[in-house]
Amino acid sequence: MRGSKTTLVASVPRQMLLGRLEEALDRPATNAERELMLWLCPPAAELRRLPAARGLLGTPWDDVDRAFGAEVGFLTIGEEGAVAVSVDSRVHVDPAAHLDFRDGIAATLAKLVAVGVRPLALHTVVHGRVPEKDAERGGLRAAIEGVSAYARGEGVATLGAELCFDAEYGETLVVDSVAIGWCDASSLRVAGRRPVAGDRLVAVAGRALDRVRRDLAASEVPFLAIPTSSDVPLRAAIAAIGDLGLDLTPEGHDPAHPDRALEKARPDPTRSILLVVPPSAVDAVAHTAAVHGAMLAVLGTVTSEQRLSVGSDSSAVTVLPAAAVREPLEIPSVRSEPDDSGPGDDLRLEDLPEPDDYNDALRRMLRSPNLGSRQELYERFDSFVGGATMLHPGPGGGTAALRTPGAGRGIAIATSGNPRFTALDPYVGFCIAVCEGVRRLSACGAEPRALVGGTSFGASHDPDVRKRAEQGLAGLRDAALAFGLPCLALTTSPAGRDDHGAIPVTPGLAFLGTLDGPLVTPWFKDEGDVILLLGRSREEIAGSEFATYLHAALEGNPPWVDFGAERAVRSVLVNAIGQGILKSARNLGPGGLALAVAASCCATPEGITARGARAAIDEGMRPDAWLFAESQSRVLVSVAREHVVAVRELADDVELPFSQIGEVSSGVLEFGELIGLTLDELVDIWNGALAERLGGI
Amino acid sequence: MKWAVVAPPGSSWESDLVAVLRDLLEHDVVAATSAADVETADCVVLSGDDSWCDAVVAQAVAAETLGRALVEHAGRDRLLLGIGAGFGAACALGLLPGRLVPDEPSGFLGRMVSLRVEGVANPWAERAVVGDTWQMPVRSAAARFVAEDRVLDRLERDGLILLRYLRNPVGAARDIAGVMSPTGNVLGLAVHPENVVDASLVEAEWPGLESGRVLFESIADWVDGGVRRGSVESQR
Repeated sequence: MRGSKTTLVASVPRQMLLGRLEEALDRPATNAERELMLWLCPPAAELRRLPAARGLLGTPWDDVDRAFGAEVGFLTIGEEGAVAVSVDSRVHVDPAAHLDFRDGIAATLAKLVAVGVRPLALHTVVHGRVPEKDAERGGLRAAIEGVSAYARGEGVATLGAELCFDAEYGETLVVDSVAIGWCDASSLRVAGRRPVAGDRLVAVAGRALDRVRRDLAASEVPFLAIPTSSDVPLRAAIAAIGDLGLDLTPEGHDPAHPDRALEKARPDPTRSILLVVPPSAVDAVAHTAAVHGAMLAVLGTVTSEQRLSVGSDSSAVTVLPAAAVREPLEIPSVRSEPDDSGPGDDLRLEDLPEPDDYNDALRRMLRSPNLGSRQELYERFDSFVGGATMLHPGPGGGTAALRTPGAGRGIAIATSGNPRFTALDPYVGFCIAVCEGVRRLSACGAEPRALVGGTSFGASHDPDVRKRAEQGLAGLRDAALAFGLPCLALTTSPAGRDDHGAIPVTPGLAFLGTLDGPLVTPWFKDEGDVILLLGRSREEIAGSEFATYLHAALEGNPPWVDFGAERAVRSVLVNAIGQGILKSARNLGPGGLALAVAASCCATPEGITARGARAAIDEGMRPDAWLFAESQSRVLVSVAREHVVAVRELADDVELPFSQIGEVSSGVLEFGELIGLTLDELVDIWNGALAERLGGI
Repeated sequence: MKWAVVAPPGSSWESDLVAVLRDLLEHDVVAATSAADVETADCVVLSGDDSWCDAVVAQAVAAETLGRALVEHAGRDRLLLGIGAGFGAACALGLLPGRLVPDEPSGFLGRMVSLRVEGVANPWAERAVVGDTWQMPVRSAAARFVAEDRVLDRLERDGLILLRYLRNPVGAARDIAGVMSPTGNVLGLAVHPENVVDASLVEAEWPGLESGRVLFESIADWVDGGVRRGSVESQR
């Protein structure tokens, strides 16, 4: 799938950018002008605004506000304030770039800081293949440690660090990160000082940027804060000054290479913000930065002319019309082209041999790098810092929760996004991602309120690749609307090189919910509790971990999506949690029923006893489908025996299939006569699978 | 009860401690920036920021007024608590025996751990009973306490070990997670009590868990009761 092109930019936006430049100049651009234009507006970054993304974000919501395009979003929560989120999505095509993970994390946090919000938590999802070489394994471990150290240094709790493996990624890594903050109603405003001619553009870099901004605000220094991003240099600043212009004359200017001079002048772009301040305030900014150990560089001056000049004080070397740079491109849609491919050939269960030994099949599934415990990975990050974490991602089964400052509102965060389903059908795959995110939140007792995230895809010059990305975003839009979920912030991220091959259209989505009642956890609690399966099981195996990992079967159609059934599942969960009768609840996702039961046995917090389970096999299905199919709209719950009837009545009320599949026991996991593993063996495999595949974490 | 929380410049971690002591326990607390802040405190806490791991930092602090104030504070039998990497700083300042070194296996570890309370006749665990199980998180890449055997023997003999890991995740010598100075007024904790004070916060995972509150309230009882080291000796 590798192309032969070696161009380092995306073709379509590159042509559009240069066309826009020459239109604004009304003459052919010089090489210096073209170079500066492409440095200020990297073509790949322009693809972050696909038409379908604009459509998704364009839906009006009363309780949503956004800033800086749509990379920061606010969701008003009651009277108290708002959750603020920022998002970043990157495609790393070079294994050596693993160490650049910090770059995206830093940018995500800086966006919140720029709007005056102190980041509380961070969530990261990495998609890639299972590392095959020592260098890849080492790189991944180094990246984990680097991100962990960065977040700890910023005092931000890492509430999730998911790894999702698929061979289709080759050596590419897709990294999505979401930062979450909270702002009180009294401080909920994005706008800062309106720039005027003569203002200085100042870059401030270092740790504790939120403190720099807070102190500046407290001292009433007039300023406008702008987030920076290493892949879109100064673009946000140019947009923020509106109809004005910028004269960029950093110290150390090299007339021959103005872009390099600007790059050098920005102190540590991975952890910096830009400030627009009056000249009289520069000293105060410098003092505040020094107090917090931050670096400072004055990059230039706001002018009254609508142009961007880069050069020395005496002679401008390169001048661009600001209008050519200010607005992001409107990339044309490719979805208008008819998709006549129709549904693909489905994968039928009978195409796959039934396992001879189901104990062995379960052991192998548990050892899948996508299914084993993530606890050892989560422990490489600090989920305690900040003192607000209510549910840690390990025991939470990937769902975490924190308490906001002040009023103490509970906010739950869950992720989803299975690239195997989007590879089969981008539209349905994104719908499934939304359904799963909603179920994860509902299972812990949260009310889903918003989604946020990124969409990554491969070779951006290929119309078919962009078409699949837009199909995915259309699925995201439709599913979000079906659940009434606003998309707070979104970024779409192509591979940075045209010669990059295909990767699955990758949903890196996070879902936010509010917790107003009890927080329900997913592990089994007490022996004798009854295990219930809510939702309909089908022999849907295409795209499942069972089909791809055990049988290397990559084709077929993804599972059936039924928004009505999803709402029915949510209804039962809400009412059962409201009655206080659920002891545990867990979404059924990758690995199907067997993995959900196994995880509910094994994944207990420190000091809490792991439980076993005795479950039945449905005689109406082939056992491997019952155990491992990944049908949607299903959750696993456990209740005390006296509450089974109440849950059945709730399910009957919304016509949701209900199955009493077993009970919580001790010491063993059994599925009928087919599976019988001791709890000790189960826990050992569960806890060791990921580290075993990665050669340690 | 007056607390002073000491953290290196740029630290983000002391705010958690300050919030717990001020907002949850309703104590008087100051983020110490000067020797005066330390001199007026009943108990000084060295916060667990990773920056403390750098011995150079610890040595630099020792050379400054604030560092000297910490040593003098401990020398006057006032209470001093080093948490996480702050434990390492207390060792580097000579206030505690031994030292903290990188964990085995290596790398950052953020995990709740179970601990056994080994002694209660001290300012730090009066509200506990010997043999109680506490849970507190480890949050460090260097939470492994080590010391020479003769030092470890002396710590055991003199009852200066406050907490041991039930399952030692960092390779600490003799499973030690908390150790006191010979005079008992300085405590180093490789774990973080400030994260287990608010039971409502951790309720979903660990119902009823308030190990940190037990520790901080034991300290407050000790100070408010005017109990001093003499009575510690008599209780042993």
